[in-house]
Amino acid sequence: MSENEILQKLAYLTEHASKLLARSQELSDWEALCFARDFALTRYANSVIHQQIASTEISLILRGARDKRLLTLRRTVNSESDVEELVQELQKTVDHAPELPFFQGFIEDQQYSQVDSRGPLLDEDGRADIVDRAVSQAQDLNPEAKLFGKVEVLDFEFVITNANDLSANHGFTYNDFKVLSIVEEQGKRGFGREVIAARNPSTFDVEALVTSAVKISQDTLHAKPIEPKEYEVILRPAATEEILAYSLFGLLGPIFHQGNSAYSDKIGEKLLSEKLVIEDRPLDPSSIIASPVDRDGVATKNQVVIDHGIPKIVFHSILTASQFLNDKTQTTGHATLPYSDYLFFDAFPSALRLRPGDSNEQEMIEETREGLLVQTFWYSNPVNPKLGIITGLTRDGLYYIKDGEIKHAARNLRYTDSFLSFLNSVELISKDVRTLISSNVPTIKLSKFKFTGQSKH
Amino acid sequence: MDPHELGEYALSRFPEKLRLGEFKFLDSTRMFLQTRNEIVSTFNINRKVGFGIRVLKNGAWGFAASNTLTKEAVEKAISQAIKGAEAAQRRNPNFDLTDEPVSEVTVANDVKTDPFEVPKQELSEYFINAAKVARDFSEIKFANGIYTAQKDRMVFYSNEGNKIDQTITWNGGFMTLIARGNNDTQVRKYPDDEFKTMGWEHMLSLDIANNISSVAKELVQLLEAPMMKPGKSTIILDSSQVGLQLHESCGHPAELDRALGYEAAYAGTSFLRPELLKQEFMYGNELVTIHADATIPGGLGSFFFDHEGVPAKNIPLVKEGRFVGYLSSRETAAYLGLEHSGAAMRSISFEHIPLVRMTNIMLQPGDWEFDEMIQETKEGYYFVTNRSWSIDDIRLNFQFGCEVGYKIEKGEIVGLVKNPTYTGITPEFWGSVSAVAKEKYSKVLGTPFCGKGEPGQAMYTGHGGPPTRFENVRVGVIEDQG
Repeated sequence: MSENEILQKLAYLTEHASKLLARSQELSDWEALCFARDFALTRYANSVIHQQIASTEISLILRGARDKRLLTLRRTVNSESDVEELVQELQKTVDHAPELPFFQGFIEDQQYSQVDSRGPLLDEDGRADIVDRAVSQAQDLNPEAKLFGKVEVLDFEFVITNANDLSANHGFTYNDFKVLSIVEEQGKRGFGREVIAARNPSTFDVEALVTSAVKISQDTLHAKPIEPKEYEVILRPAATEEILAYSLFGLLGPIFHQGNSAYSDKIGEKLLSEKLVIEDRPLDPSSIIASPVDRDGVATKNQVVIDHGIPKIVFHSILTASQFLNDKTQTTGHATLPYSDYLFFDAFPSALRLRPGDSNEQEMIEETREGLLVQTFWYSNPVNPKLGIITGLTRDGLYYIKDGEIKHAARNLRYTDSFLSFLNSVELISKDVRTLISSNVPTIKLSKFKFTGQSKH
Repeated sequence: MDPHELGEYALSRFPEKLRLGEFKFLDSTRMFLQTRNEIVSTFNINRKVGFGIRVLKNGAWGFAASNTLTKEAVEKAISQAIKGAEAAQRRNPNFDLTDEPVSEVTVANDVKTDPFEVPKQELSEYFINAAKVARDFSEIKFANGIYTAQKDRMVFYSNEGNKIDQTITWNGGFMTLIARGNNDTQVRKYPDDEFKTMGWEHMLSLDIANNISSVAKELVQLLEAPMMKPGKSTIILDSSQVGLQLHESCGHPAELDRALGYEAAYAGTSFLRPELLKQEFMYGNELVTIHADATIPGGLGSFFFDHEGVPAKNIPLVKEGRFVGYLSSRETAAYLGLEHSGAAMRSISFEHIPLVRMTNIMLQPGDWEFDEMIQETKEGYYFVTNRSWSIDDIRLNFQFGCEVGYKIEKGEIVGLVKNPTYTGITPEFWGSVSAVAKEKYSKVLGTPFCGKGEPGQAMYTGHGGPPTRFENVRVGVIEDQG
């Protein structure tokens, strides 16, 4: 279906649901969100395409209340009768739904901004063509290099209405490219990775990304073991993104208010480096997940999350704001849109941006006495959320720097450290940023970062 | 439209020369309840109904899915899947399949009380009553319940002759208690990873409200407990931590698609490379035998047929320390020259392709009484309930945190330690096993949220075993970093 056809179908299904819900005697309040996910993916491994996927899903999420009883039902739908069936189920079941004493109703009508967040999408031939070009180039650079990765596209569209006459719709598209190069020699393997997302796939510099991935894999093939200890670190964008996300989980409403967060009771205090400004920019078209409306129908806004090291907001949806702040209007507009089923938080920013600085990677390397250049982190997880301690590993590119020069690739290390410490040591931030699905992030240099163990590769 | 009719229609529309044409209808309903202290904070029911068409044409895969249940949509999906396979040709794939028996059957797992038929009030009261018990302790500020139930009906047709109608229902839940005091916050979960392919009767048998008091009491004591000393130590892991250790350091690296590089760009590769299978690589010592068993009644990773229509199997992965097998699919098994698939392919919903997933990864029991393991430990720790986990992309370097540690001195538990952590390298760790408890101590547990693939699929998988003792393990990582 074309974008227009999808939007028409969503509007039609939502309107049908709204009419039925508005007539309902059983419901005191309701909300209907209908969305379409048109998704396609080409995955490749060992330089061969091994998955070609295309899927279309249209789903309706109904939230219906009878006084304080609130029920959420979600179903894939395609026709009026599917919608009628779901509305009937809601009406039939809402009386048996558990009571949510904090529930304060859905949001009132909002004024929304406009964001241009749609662009061209690669079809199956376009995606296969990128893989083809990438593999050919890698073979030219190093006949031993094998490529792995994906080219993924999504068109996400949604319409939301509720009993308070709220009505909104929006959509966004993206193209996502990832390449991992592996070279192998006498049983040893080197790994190098690059990843980028774009509204317009013609901006992908496939050649540059493949060249970088292959070079890193050639370098890491000869990685030397180094001692795990505290180092200066330069984090390239993918590494920065992971650290950023795990450092912000403590601002999730439920975690924050239950006291199991390093930020609990510390909003407004300077906890991190004053060089650090982290924003959520859903109204910025350069954010991939750009949307003027959140999953609750709340008008979103660009806002500062960490202002020169000071946490400013706790992420809320209308339900968590009702529950923990006793005021649904205290929502920060972060209710997560269902553009993926692999999202596990009720409310979290999807358009993060670490404000760029004026440095660059070369300057950072020159400013490093003894440190590491990190391409990517992997499997980070909180160890002690109250103390801000996180653990994880480097992956697909790690270099040892001594006296302002890269000396050699290094074997992967495990880090275990508190972000209250390492994000207090920001020294330099790059001017250039990389666009990833849920963030725009630069390269950053930290003066201290603790590594606690070694891996074997 | 009836899925069997659509399946028959798909069979009639697959081109004759397809190596494989599959129609898979999946109707997945998941119920999720969350309570916070004495109130419900979330209650939702999510149902996804649709079908996927998977084809193997000229050695290349294509897949297309839709939630429109019409013949026209089936026709379109077949065309899309074939187009995808044709577009993949330019990089010369040459995938093949093992030959497998075909089945024509309707099956469902044993469920005494359908979780979706239990009155919603009963569901919420089950957890709220447990919260009331836990909150008798003033230090416990939050007592949060989580309950999940899922029912998956799969109708699977293939141009090889499969006509399978399978329904799997599972459910499980736990309470998370959060205590504050002594300038600290500590957390305990109860029970551990108790998710089963059973009905509501499973939750009734757990009877959380009548069993949570001792855990709550211990949590309060944990606020005053010391941190552990960093260093090398003997450790005993409880069944739940053994299960997660197996999941991360044996289950994932034994996924053959991963070992062959299919997940290299996301979840990573595996230190268990195919050549190690021929070399009978020593994954652990002679006390370590591990199976991937999809046939265990009630196991969260149990089923009758995988999503390629292959009957469920019990596959040895490690036998007396030697690496002897993989979790596999028809394609990956054929690549390795195996005669048959390990029947491990599943997808979480209709729009996803199946991937090699864990079934129930189980450490086989030893011959130790649990008390005997403690008594014969001069100095060490007993670690219970996972709190944090992390492992590298080839599944070698891991680090885990547990919710509680018990200090062992001269064969006796002498007190609690908080924030326990341990770290190691997989084959060295499993090579240090000094005791495995008897079968009566073994538990089959699982996680509903095992992540894999792009886009991510959070699948329900099983794992477990008896408490197990390890020697010379690095512990106290948090303290060690100063």
